[in-house]
Amino acid sequence: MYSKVQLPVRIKELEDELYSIRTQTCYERAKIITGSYQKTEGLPTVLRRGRAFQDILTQMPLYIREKELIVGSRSSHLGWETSYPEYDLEDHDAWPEEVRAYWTGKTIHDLSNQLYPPIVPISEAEHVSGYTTGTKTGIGHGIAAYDKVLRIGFRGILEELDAALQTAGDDQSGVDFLNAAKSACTGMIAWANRYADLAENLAKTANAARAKELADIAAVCRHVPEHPARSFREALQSFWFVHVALHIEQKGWSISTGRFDQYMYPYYRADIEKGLITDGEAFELLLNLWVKFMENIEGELKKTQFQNLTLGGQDQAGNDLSNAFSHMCLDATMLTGYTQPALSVRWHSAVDHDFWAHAMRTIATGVGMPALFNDEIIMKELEAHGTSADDTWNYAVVGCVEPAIPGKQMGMTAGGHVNVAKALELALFNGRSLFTGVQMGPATGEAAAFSSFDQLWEAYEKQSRYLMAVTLLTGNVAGTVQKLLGHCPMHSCLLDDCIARRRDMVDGGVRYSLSGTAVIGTPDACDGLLAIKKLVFEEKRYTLQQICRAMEANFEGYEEMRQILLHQPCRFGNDIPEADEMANKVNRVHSEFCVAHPDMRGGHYTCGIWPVNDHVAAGKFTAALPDGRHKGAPLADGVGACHGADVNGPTALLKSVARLNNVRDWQGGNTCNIKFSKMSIHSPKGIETMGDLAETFMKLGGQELQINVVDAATLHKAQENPEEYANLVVRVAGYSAYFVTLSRSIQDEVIARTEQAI
Amino acid sequence: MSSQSSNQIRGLISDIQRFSIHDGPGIRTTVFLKGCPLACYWCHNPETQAAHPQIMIHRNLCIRCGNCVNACPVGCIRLDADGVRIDRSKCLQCGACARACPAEALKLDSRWMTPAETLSVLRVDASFYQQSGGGVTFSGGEALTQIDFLQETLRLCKSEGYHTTVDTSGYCEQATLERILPFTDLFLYDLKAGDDATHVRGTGKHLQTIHDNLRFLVQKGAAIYIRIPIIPGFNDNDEEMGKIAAFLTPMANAIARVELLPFHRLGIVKYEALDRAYKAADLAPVSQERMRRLARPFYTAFDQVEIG
Repeated sequence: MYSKVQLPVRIKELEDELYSIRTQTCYERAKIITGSYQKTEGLPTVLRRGRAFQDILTQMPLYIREKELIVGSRSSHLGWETSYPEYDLEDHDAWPEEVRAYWTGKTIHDLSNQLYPPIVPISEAEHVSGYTTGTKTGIGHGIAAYDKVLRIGFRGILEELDAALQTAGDDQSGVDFLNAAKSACTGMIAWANRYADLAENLAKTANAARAKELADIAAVCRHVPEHPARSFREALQSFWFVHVALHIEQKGWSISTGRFDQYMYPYYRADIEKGLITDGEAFELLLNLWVKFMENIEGELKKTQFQNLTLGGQDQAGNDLSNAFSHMCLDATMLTGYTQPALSVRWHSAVDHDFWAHAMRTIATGVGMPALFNDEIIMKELEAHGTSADDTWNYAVVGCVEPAIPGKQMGMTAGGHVNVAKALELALFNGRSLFTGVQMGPATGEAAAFSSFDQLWEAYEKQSRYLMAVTLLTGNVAGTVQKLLGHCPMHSCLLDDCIARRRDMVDGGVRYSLSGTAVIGTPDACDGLLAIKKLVFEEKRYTLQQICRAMEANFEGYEEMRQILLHQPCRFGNDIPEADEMANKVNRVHSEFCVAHPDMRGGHYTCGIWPVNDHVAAGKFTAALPDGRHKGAPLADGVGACHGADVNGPTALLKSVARLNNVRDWQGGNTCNIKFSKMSIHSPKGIETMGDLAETFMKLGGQELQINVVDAATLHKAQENPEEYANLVVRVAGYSAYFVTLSRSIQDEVIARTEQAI
Repeated sequence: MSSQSSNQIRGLISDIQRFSIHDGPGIRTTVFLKGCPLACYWCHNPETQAAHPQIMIHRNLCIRCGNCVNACPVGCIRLDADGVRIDRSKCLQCGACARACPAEALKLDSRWMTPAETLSVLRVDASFYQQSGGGVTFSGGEALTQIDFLQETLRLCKSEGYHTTVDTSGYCEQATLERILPFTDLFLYDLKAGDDATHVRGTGKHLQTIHDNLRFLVQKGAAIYIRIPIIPGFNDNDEEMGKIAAFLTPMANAIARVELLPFHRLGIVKYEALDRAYKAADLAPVSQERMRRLARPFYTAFDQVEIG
């Protein structure tokens, strides 16, 4: 067994160095790709991309860290930021002159700007719609078939490519793609061998112990990823080379690992059974890999790279697949507290009890992971949107919460954003933004003319569809520019059916394409509509014009009305079916619109809600709303309730969220975040209760749940920045309250009690 | 049903808290009933002591609209520099001000509910009870002061198959306790002191009834958790704990668990809202280390000793 309380010295040293890095931009990749493109002028883009990738891998300056056993990095120095001039020159100021001169006017961002209709900048300026991934970056957001590289190596893939070339006939673009892919795979093999060379050179001057380690590194890198992995260590190293290279090939994030515990387990088990490795050695290697995930953030560690790693879940027959290695992955995160990889755990009705309990203990440490996913909902969702029932069981999580089939699905789960709370604002002001007066949506009539809720609803629907249309337009722009300029031949080799169809992943090569859009503000739109329905059209307490005047005044001089709107009891998140049905009605508008529109790769659009911090950003540009929310305040986080609206506690909130029609409306994943103070949930019984809460939510039909257990340090932060922690509830026997509303001395007492809770 | 028919019974309820996780096993919904025969000076739920409704004033929420002043039928509300003031000697507890308050700064601390209405609230989290081995808990105040309502509501809960818990001070007639025995799966039985004089000083009542009733429950084979609030300067010493342990030890086989609950001052907000002074406002919290020391006399006789 390995220590679950103390990091190995090696890992501690690697970690210390990581936390003390000073970042700067690494221009090596930029210089190499520029030189490469200058040599390939006139060739088809896919070939140029394949060749450039190969050139980067064969020319990039490499380093191996003093203590590490797993090697491979994106930039030339630890913590430096890799540069990608072909996507956007606005990323950095100090481009080498030849790089700036070459790419000016030729980047993906430049092309996107040319293709955007005039409404897009207007809409993006107020964070309303647009902001689509892939218009100035790569698409990222996908799960490559890592297991394929472990199984056959890039040598095996090259054989596949050669075979495909034999049958390509006169499909010239197909031949170009296959040749580009060959360059890319050849580059992968050369890159690993360069690490082997470097390790051998370093060994010459190293002490005996390190020289032995370096010799082992060299031997591993000589073999993988060119050939099939023969051991656990080779499998980890091969995986890591692929993972980093996916980030070198394109400027993308949310490049996720898929079912890591599934494809790694056979190697782990075989080595343990044969006595080739101890659990302690395996754990140290895994921890080293966890450090590499953190390194891959590049620069400041407070950013994230959304490298999601999925654990557990079922096989096609419904049996639980968690294994000893799944537990080891949880232990690695529990011990390190690292934010990367982001862990996801799949729940299903036959979930292994010990594994689920381990997931809960990990959450209880306060690391905020793993996030929990409901197989039974997500598999139905994927099937409803065209994924074969033979594949759905094998889904994994991309980025934040987006389900995808590893190795078979085009990512692009993060398309553009759309703020549907803004759609309500526009519906009440005839399409005008209350911020700028700009006509942002269609003219759907002044509020004074609405004599029924249905008329307002009709206007809302039109505005919401219009904003969605703008977003899908930018999604199509992203699809177009990527198809023209953004080929990723290495990544494509790891996605079915790119090789068979002889098409790059940006060019329709992949079997499944579901392009996500990120919806923001559905609870706000829902509660705003409910407030109007109840207080204007049912109780007739106010006229719609009065509500509009109050919104224009940001409720200044209308505080009494604001309080009544805020306390209108029929709000989402309180286990009130009528309110929750309004949320479904709101969601249906954007989900029907998305599903009806094809994307650029042969699939269609889907809706997700995973705002990260966009609910804060979009909120800044959203006027006062009819639910009493002030102008500029954050919108609701994901599918959670609006701030302070969920007055019936977590069981009520979770019942409301479970009542959402996830299968129909949230194919792109959604986020439900709840917070508990460590004081409430610290005992073994408390942790078990948390597991029961989550499991009941899943049985009721919830899709995703993330539980944050708040420790004393966070409570100190909440004292300093109360607005960021407005939703944090503390509970002790017979008492619960919003933490930030307590007096300072009582807050201090809660903190003291939390510090005692281990 | 003795004196009232089922549909005439009403309970005065201060709160129904869903997702209660400290009042018995699993995920529970706790019903807080008003009225208490004891007067513990540290009580953290002061609104549950009186057996009648009261207005609570959350001055930090007041928007000074003055609606309450106009709504009060006896003119006992005024707005001053600190916000709303109520002359409580004149207040009828009618709740008109609370209904007029848009900000929920004024709230009636309780409402009358029938057993059936209460059950309809308890029912909504049944799936959580089932998953977690939880159920419903009746607390207070002293739940047994509303025995007709309690008995009938417990009966309804049992008919739905819920696990039922009653949190009690044990200060009641034995016959009262007997009425709920058939419908109660677990008693959370509070003991505040081991010494009678101490108990009188802290709660205003003698220990005898409480001791007798505990023996009665033990004799009846009820499932019991003992709960001991640890109050600084009152019972946080080895002598008190020793006396409580000495009293409990002969019944150790019948007592499933002893829980020691550290004092907290979070109830102070409620005292302010009721315009009441809080006599425990300046007590320091009890350290975890102190709690462990105080728990020592119980470890020898009891398998489960928990510090809450």
